[in-house]
Order: sequence, then C-alpha cells, then structure tokens
Amino acid sequence: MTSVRQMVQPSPIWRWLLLGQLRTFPFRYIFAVLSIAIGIALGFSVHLINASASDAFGDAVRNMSGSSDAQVAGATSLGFDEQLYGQVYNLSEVADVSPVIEMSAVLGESGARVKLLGIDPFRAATITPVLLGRQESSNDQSASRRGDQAALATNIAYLSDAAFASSNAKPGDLLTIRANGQTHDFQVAGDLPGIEAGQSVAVIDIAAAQWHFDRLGVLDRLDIKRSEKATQSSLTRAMQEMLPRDARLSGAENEIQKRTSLSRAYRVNLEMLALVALVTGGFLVYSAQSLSAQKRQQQFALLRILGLQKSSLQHQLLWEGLALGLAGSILGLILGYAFAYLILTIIGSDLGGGYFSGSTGPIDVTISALLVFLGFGIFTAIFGSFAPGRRAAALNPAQAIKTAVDHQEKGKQPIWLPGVALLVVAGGLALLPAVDGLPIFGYLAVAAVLAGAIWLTPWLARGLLTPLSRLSGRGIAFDLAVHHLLRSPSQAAAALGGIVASVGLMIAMVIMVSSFRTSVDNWLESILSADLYVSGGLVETSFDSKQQAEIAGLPDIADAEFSKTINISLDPKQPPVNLTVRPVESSQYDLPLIAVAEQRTAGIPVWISEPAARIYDLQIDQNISLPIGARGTPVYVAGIWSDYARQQGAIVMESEDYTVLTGISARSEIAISLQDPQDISAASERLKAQIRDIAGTEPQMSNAAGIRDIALGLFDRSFAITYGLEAVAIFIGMVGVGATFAAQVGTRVKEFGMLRHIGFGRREIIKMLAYEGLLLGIVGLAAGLLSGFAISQILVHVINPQSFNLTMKTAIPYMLLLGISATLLITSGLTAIFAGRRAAAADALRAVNEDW
Amino acid sequence: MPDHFPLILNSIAKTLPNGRELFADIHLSLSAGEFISIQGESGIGKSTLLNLAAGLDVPSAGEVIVAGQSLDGLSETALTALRGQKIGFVFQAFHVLPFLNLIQNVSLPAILTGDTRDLALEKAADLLDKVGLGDRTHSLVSELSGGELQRVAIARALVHAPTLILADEPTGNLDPSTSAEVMDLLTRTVKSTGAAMILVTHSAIDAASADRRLVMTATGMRDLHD
Repeated sequence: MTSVRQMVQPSPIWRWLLLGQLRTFPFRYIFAVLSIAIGIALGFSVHLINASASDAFGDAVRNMSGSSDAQVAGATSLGFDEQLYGQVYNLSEVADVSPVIEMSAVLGESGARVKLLGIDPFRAATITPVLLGRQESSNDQSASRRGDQAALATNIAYLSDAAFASSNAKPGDLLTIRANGQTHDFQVAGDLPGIEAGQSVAVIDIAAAQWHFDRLGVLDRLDIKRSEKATQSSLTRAMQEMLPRDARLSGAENEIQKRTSLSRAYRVNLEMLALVALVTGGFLVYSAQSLSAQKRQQQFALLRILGLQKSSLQHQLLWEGLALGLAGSILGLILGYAFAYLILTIIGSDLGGGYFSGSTGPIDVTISALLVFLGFGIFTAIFGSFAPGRRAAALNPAQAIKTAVDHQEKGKQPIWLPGVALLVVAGGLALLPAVDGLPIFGYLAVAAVLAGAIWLTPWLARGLLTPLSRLSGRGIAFDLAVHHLLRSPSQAAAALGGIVASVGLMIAMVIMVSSFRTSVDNWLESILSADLYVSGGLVETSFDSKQQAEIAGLPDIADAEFSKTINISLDPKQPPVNLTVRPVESSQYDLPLIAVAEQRTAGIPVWISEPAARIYDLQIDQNISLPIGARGTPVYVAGIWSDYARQQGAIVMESEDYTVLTGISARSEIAISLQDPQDISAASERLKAQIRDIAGTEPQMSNAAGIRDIALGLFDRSFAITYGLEAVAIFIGMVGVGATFAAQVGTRVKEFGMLRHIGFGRREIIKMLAYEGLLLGIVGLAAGLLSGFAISQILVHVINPQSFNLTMKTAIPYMLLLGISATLLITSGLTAIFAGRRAAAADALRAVNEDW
Repeated sequence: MPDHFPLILNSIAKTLPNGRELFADIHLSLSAGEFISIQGESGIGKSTLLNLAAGLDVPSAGEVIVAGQSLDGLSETALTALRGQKIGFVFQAFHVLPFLNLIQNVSLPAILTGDTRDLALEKAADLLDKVGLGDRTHSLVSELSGGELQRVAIARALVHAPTLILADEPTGNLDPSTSAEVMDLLTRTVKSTGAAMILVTHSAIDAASADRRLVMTATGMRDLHD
C-alpha cells in the first residue's frame, strides 16, 4: 500500500518524468498552464478591483461618521422632525448629539456634485471633528487653525479637496450652491482637512442649510455619542423604543452593508463569470492530460512492469496536475494583480456596475484571497488530471506495452445513467432558493448540467455517428474517420470534454446576455411612452403648483404629467428604495404591470417594482407601512410592475395621495405629450426656453429615443466587463478546441505512418482528419448547444432573479449562435487539417518526439 | 517452498476469454543462475507464459511461484512489489523512456524498489559501465542506436539485482551482427549476477546460447534435445 509520505513527497522519478515531459512536450504544458493562469488572473483581478472599491467606500463612510457610536437617519429624503434632536439628547444613554442636514448639491457654474452637510460646529467638534473646516487666512498662508468653524457665519462654506478640484473654486470665492430646488451664494472660507481624498463634500452651518434650502424644522441625521454608563446595546434599545416611523437607527457599518449588499450579487456574478474561464481551463487540462496519458500508455505500462504501483501511477498524473495548477495559479495571481493595477489606474474601480463610482482605493491583497485563488487553480488542474490518472492506472500493462489500447471496451455502450442522474440533480438544485441572497444552488446546478452533458457526450456521439458508419459510398477517408471515432471512444471523449465545456458555457452566456438586453430594450420601449422628458438637469429644480399649471398650459403641450422621486428606507439593512410620485390611474402612460389587484380595497394604493416585491417579500393586496410622517403611512400593494433600472426596488404612489400626506405639491420631473409629435425637435427648443423662463433654471430635455439609447448604452457599459470575460472564455475555448485536436492527432503519428506505408497519400490522411475534426466538432457543438441552452435557462430564470431580483424572458440570438457554430466547425476542421499536415509529413524518427 | 528456485511453473494452463485454450499443464522449474530459451510459433503463447511468470497475467489453472512466493491470491499491490524486487525485463522494442538520460533510465527500477537516488544512480553508472556505455551516462535516448538502446535495457533489467530476468525477443529489432553482440553481453552480464533468465526468441542462434532449450507447441512444452 502506498503510504501517505509517498503520496505527499514525490520521488526523484516523478521529478524526472515531469521535467522530462516538460522538456520534450513544452507546448502541451505551456497551454495548460496558460489556461489556468488566465482563469485565475481574471477572477483575482475582478476580486481585487471590487475589494478596492468596497474598502474605499467603507473608509469614506467611516471617515464621515467620525467617532459617533450610533446614527439616526431619515427613513426618507424628507428627513424627520427636528424635535427628535432634543428627545434623543435627553436620553440617559446619550452623552452628546450632533444634528446634521445632508443633501446632494451642485456647486457654481461647474455643475460639480457634492454632498452638502449642514452641521452645528459646537456639537460636531466632539463627535465628528472631521467635518470641521479649516479657515484660510488671507494675509498669512501658513496660519490656519482647526475649529474656526465655531465662529461660522451663515454664509460661509468649507470644501473638501475633491470639491475644490471639481468646482475650480478658491478660498475667498463667492460660490453658488444649489440644493433641494433652492440656490444660495456662500463665501468659500477654507478646506476640510479631515475629509479623505476623493470625497466631494461641502460643509455649511446647519441653520443656513435649513434656512436657505427649504429644510426648516427637519433634520436628516443625528450623530450620537454614547454616555459612559451606557452600553451599545442599551443605547440601541433605548433609541429603537423612541424613534418615530420616519427615522431609522443607522450607523457606518449599516451604510456599508447596504451598499455592499446592493452590489454583492453583481460582484459575485462577475467573479463567477471570471471563474467560467477557469472551469473551461480545467476541462482543457483534462483533455490535455487525457490525451497525454494516452500518448504515454507504453511508458506507463513499462513503469508498472518495472514495479510501479497503480496508485503511484495515478499520483504521477496528479503531481503533474498539481505542478500545472501551481504554475498556472502563481502566474495567474501575478497577471491578476497587474490587470487590477492597470484597470484601477486607467478606468477606476466601478467595473461598469455603477455601485462604486468615484470610489477607488489602494489594492489590498489579503493572504486569504491569495490562498483561495491559488487553491482554485490547483484544484481545477488536479480535478482535470484525476480521471486521466485513474484510467492510466487501470490499464493492463502487459497489453499496453505492446500496443496502445483504448480504456473503454470496444462495442460496449457508454453508460448514460450517471449523466442523466446529474441532469436530474441539476433540475432539483435549480428549484432551491438563494442562500443569503446568493444563488449558490443555481451555480451548483450549472456545474451539474455541465458535468452531466460531458458524461453523456460519448453516448450522444455514438448515437450520431453509428448511423453514419452504415452509410456507404462516402469514400475511404470518411469511413476511416467515422470508424476511428466510434472505435476509440476514450480519445473522442477526451477531445469532446473540452469542446463541450467551452462551447456550452459560451452559448449559455451569449443567450443570457441577449435575454437580459432584449428584456431591458422591451421594457424601455413600454415605459418611455411620452414624447419628451424634463428634469432639473444639473440644478436641483422643483416646479411648484403655479409653475406646473403654467407649464401644462404651454401651447406645444397636449399633456404634461409631473412627478417626483425621493428615497425611502423600508429596512435599515437594505439600500433605500425610490418612491416615485406621479399620476397613475389618470395617467396616459401605463406602468408595465406584471401583476395587479383584482379589486380595489380601501386605503392608499401603491404600485411596487418587481425587485421591491422580491426583496421585501411583498404580495398583491398586502398592507405595508411607508415611513412618511412620524407615525408612518399605511398603504396597500395594488400592483407589481417590472423594473430593470432600480435594483434596490421602487414604489409608485399617486401624486394626489402624496400631496395630501406630506403637503408637498412641488415636483421635479415632467413627462410631456406634444400637440404635434412630428415637431419634436423645434418644440423641444421652444419648451426649453419657456420652462427656463417659468422655473428660472435651465431644464434638461430628453426624448424617448435619446433616453433609450443612453439606457442601453449604460447597459452595455455595465456589461462591458461581462462581454470582455465572455470573449476571453470564447478565446480559451476556441484555442482549446484547436489544441485538443492537435494533441489527438499527435497521439496517432504511428498510425499515419502505417497508413502511408499501405498506400494512403498525404491528402487522404489530411482529408480523413478533416472529417474527424468536422464530426467531432458537430458532436461537440450539438452537446454544447444543448447544455448551453440548459445552462442559459438556469442563468435567466434562477441565477439572475436570485441575484438581481428581476425576471426576464429568454431571447435567443440566432445569428450570433449561427456565427459561433460556424466558427467552431471551421476551427475544428482547419485545426485538424493543420495538425494532420504536420503528422502526415512526419518521419519515423520525428514520430518518437512528436509534440503539439 | 524452495526459494532457491527463482521460478516454478506448476501445471499451469491458460485459456483465452474467447474460450481458446492456449496451453495446459506446463511444468517448469528454473534454478538460480540457470538460463533457458523458449522457441515456438507466433501466437503459441510464449509471451503469455512470460506474462504469467511476471504476475502480469493470471493462469486459468496451476500455480506460479517466484523466488519461493506463490503468486496465487496475491493482491495487485503485492504482485507489483514482487515484480519490482525479483524480476528484470528486457523487451524487443527496448522501451527506454525518451525524455530521460541513460543513467536515469537505468536507475528507475532501483529507485522503485526503495534505493535512495544517489545509490540507484551509483548502481546504474556501474551497470552502464559494464554494458560499455560508461562514458555516455548523461546522453539522451535519441542519440543512441538500436544496439545501444538494448544495452541500456539490459543494464536497467539488472540494476535492482533481480533473481529472474525475462527477455522477450531482445534481438528481434536488431541486425544479425548487433544481435550477436547484444546476446553475448546479455548472457555474460546476467551470468555474472547469478540471476536466472528465460529468453523467448525466434532465433535459433540466440536460443543456442542457453543452458536449456525448450520448444512450445500446441501440445505443450518440451526440451529440444528430448
């Protein structure tokens, strides 16, 4: 019996064999190492970029929160009643409270967007001193003191370095700040040295913020310092008991969790996509090792006869796999770091998802991440070497040393039951729910489909090729090709394993992306039914009732619907959902409803988006409470509509209901139907000027086609990294197909020599190989298309809904699939011909050292 | 069992999976240092007999005893270990690994039976010297002629000091002049180690150098001088 020590310590023989193989057949191993390296590099770089963005965002949030022990935040962007400040301050668990107004704002003519904070400098000094400004002295550049903001006048603002840079403002400048539909000029008094680089922040006095930006009587945040005798849990308990419905207990970690939970599925999907390339690489290692083992059958037989144990022979191939995996993983980690560095330097850390725009931190490589990716690479390569090793060890050495044999018995039907069982298991896994918001079982189902398809491929090959073997009159080259594939099932299976894996995964991704994009396109078409859309543009504009009436009465306008969107928080651990206030029942623009209440019940109806329904597990007719007003507002779900734009969820409320509930009738967006839609260009210009005159700010006008183009552009941008990864997977797949054929042909040089001796010309041999390549390509393509379609259905109907909380319909890109199929068949045939030309020309001496 | 007999075949028979009886009731005892040759028509079962002696195949009936150890009922692992320790092989097609140099090729069986790398290489160098390749220990296989390759194979067959050498048509791929050189070398070297040897061959000249000449026929195995 082989001891554990023998297994973990390779004898000199293994080193000699491995190094000898490397010297003699370098390209075989270089290709396998590169396959692993590319997969690891992609996965590792995506991981590093995402981690960098997440860390930078987290650091920024913690930085802004200073040393507060807890925060109270508004459940909606309407904020909460400022009386809560006094109530919280009076709690025995609270030592100090700093009230904050928080808005997004636009600076000056530059249009630079910043986070505008209104603070009480005396309170902030003890809890969030990072928010205190440093006054620039006009006559002494070196004299600067912290805490000067304590003497802050109501027309003074401090800017962070990033805000200075984006607004082109200088200390002493008069700077216009626009927020919440209001505009006011502030003198830039100095900088915010405590704010981290890259964060665009402006700080003003809290009273100025309330007065100038229409926030009188409300606050957005309370930063709380715990008293010495209180514990964090007692503080939390006391706060939860007294908070009204429109305020939520929050904190830096909550904010980070919200953002990371929103992007987690996207990040995991990207990493999974990157690992697709690795899985493809693993199957190519399998193909390479299978064919290599077949080519070395006589060598293995010799070693077995000389006294090498079966298990040791299997370990030889596992050691080879380990060496390939280790080399590929180390190379992949180096390449991955380099990719991440380049991408972060050139593009930034967003990766197209839009979750971390503007957040870029240093690359932080953790030991755990290094080990995980190293382990992935090694496991993949060892996995790819396991089956070939078992087969090599199972050969009869006395038989194999005389002539190469196929491990499968000739004429025996391939076993199909385990393959079918794997597909059934995949079906079961696909029905299971997400685990902690991640479609773990969905990914396992994909793996099971892939494994099942590869298992069933020899069976499919036999089914497709057997009828061909009965055809006569197709020529000797065709007959030999068919019979070779039928009588050498192991060689065919090894070649097909790599082809089916790469083709299946590439087909699945192509169908998934096409389905997603088509669904988004159709959705945009249904939701963009007005002629023109008006928003405040760069300026935070709102239209009051009078302005709305004036705009609706403009001669070019047949109908104008005014709307407004605010953020509301339904769960402090989830990102806020969008509450859109617009006419619904009376609107001529229908929501794309996918479910609707059969009967109207009493109360305020809301229509929720599909992601909101899935995230918060809401049903039609269900009663919920929206955090509007101190006691909350009870509403019921009147319908569910599809939404591809807001992954965090959205709710639509009747405009009139919102006005009654909040007393706010101002709206910030307009959907316009024109009297003459043919005149859209000229009407747009006229309306722009007229609305500017009415509202006093420059509106941003868009037509439906323009918005659709922008939205699809954004979709393509967010999928750019996906397309990139897909292209790499396809490239590896195609190179793998070529390498597999070349390897297979390389194992048969002696056969070709024999055929030439009995009268076969080079042309006949090349023709025979072209047929073989084409037939293998057809079988691989058939299995790849079938498995790819099955995997795409798991992606479309399980993984995407569980990751992003939205459903879509399958859209098959027939022309693209046709192109991929043709490319695959041409690649198969051409590679077989190319490899055949080399093999057919080889002499006996070259045959001994044949490499691929 | 007497362990001074490197090989005893006790009434062995072999029937192929298709039902054809290859041979039956074969008896053979090989003493230490004894050299026998076996001749016979193609397909008569000579190589199968060697496979049975090496534990690479299982007889349909009878018993194979190698160095006093009956192969009957031994596990695959035990058979492999016994083969590695007690038996050396010389093949018609040389079977020298092309990506290893000569000394590495020769040292393989010694390492497989547990010698340290240095000791195995020392033994291999010594044997390569004996077969006339002492100055080419680090040459690659591709640089050697057929005769030289078979010399390497002879050295490899002896490096782990086996008690039994099984040579299957060792001169089958060589010209007459080289065949004579190789046979002379094989006989001398094996004799010098005290190992017993079975030579399966079609060549009457090669067979003539054996201590005993046996012939396999459809009816069994007999001594050529009987």
